[in-house]
Amino acid sequence: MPHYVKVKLKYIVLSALSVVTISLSPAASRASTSYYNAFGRKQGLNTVVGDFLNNVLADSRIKAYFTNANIPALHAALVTQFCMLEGGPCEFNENMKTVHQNLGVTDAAFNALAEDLQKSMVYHNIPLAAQNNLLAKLAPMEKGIVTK
Amino acid sequence: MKKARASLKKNITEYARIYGISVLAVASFAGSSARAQMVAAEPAPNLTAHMFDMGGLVTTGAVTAVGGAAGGGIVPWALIGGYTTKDQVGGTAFYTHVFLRNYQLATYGGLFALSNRVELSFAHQSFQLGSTGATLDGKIFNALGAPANTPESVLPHALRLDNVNINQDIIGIKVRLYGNAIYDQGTLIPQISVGYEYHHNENSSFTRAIGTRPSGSEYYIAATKVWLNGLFGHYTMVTATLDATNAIQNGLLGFGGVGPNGPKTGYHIEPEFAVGYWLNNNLVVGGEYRFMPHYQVVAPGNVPGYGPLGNALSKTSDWKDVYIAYFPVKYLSITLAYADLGTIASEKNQNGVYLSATSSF
Ligand code: HEM
Repeated sequence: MPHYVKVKLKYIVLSALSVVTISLSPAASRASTSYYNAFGRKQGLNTVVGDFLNNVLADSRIKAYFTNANIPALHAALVTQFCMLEGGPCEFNENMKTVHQNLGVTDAAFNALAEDLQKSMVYHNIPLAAQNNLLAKLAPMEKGIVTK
Repeated sequence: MKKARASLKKNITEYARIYGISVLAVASFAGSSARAQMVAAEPAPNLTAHMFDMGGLVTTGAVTAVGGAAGGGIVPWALIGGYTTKDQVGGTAFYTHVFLRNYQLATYGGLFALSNRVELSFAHQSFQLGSTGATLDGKIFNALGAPANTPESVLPHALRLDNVNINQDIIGIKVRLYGNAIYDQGTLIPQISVGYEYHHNENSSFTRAIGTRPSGSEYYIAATKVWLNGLFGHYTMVTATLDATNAIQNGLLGFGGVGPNGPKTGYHIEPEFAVGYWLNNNLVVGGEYRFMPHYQVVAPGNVPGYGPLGNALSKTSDWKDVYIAYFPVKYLSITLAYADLGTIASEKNQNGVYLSATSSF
């Protein structure tokens, strides 16, 4: 391949990648009530969170963390939080860092919990884009929640 | 006929003398036991299929590039292989087979990952010339003006290529410097890793015969960005890598090339790109593009016929592939790809199917 063709190709590949990258950057601003609806609103979220917590409490990797937890309160809090994150009409402003600061949560526990959530969402056939939007909102919380 | 053989031997010996090496040396290099992966360059990305299954949510952990590092088929990604988290040790093992038009490339290897921070990888590549080796010998005879049907045995050992495997070992280290591709969402900041690969070609008498060195290095910096809510809400990955290398055809034809004053070691800086798109948690499709450096092999001039031969052997094309990786379970990936490696050792259109399996633990 002549050198100039090669150089030109480099620019084409680079620009193609920039287009992908730039078009993905405003992904966060896409959130609308459509994800909330995709979850089946409050009622759907209730079911998904319920099974999510069942998975967590049966998960030998992490269930020990929840021995003294108030599960109904946790259930209600998670429904409200997910409702807000998916664009629903809910207010949630508990500080995740404060809530988890004494729990000694590890990265492995964080990932296990995410897996349990994913399992529940898949089980309830939540549309993939809505699932992934929620995961994308939760993932950055790792910084505050994981302390160990 | 006798005369032709004598003059051929003379030509080759002359060529060897010029480079101060004995092409007649049969001693095949007893390769180091450390094996690095080298199909393309890295072990396919341990695309932990479920990303949060990164420990892990995302299946990014289980694909390996040909060089042994976690990555796509031919491009190393910034992700650390396996599914380790801050407090875990893990790894992967892989086997890759590429069926090209004239050659086959078989690679196996593995990696250890420490705390999602450091990845130590190794690979062993075997580039199988098959019957194309005899064709290449014919081309060498041709360049030297030997009559048709000259027996291969006239050639020095290092250049008897019929059914020869060119073997390469690669050991690598990759360190995550910054960011976490999975946790860093809602920002454009990628995960950034730097890596080093040491390549050692076991067929050192062959690389010397064509004027290149039997070992060389690659230094790279890779940036990988994963959007969990990417295109159409699917996981989407973009990787850009900058590679400083002196490997010719990834090291299969040696390292460094020759210049007017003998062997050269200079590095070339080449970009590499990879994209991945998760159709669902178990299925990833994507493509890769790797710009390859061009080096001159076989000294031009001096020995009649070697100029054109050297130019033909020196032709290198960019490497590219499209792939689909399937994760039946988080700990296993099977990758099917179509790779186009262009011209290798003067044989054009080296494309074909790439099959790879990686298991992580
Ligand atoms: C993105 C991930 C997470 C989110 C969004 C989240 C959310 C929450 C929320 C909203 C609460 C407060 C409940 C309330 O107000 O009663 C809470 C409490 C708690 N979380 Fe998490 N959490 C996450 C990860 C984890 C992980 C990985 C663990 C451990 C494996 C964990 C263990 C707990 C425990 C033990 C409590 C206290 C429950 C109680 O005292 O009643 N969390 N979490």
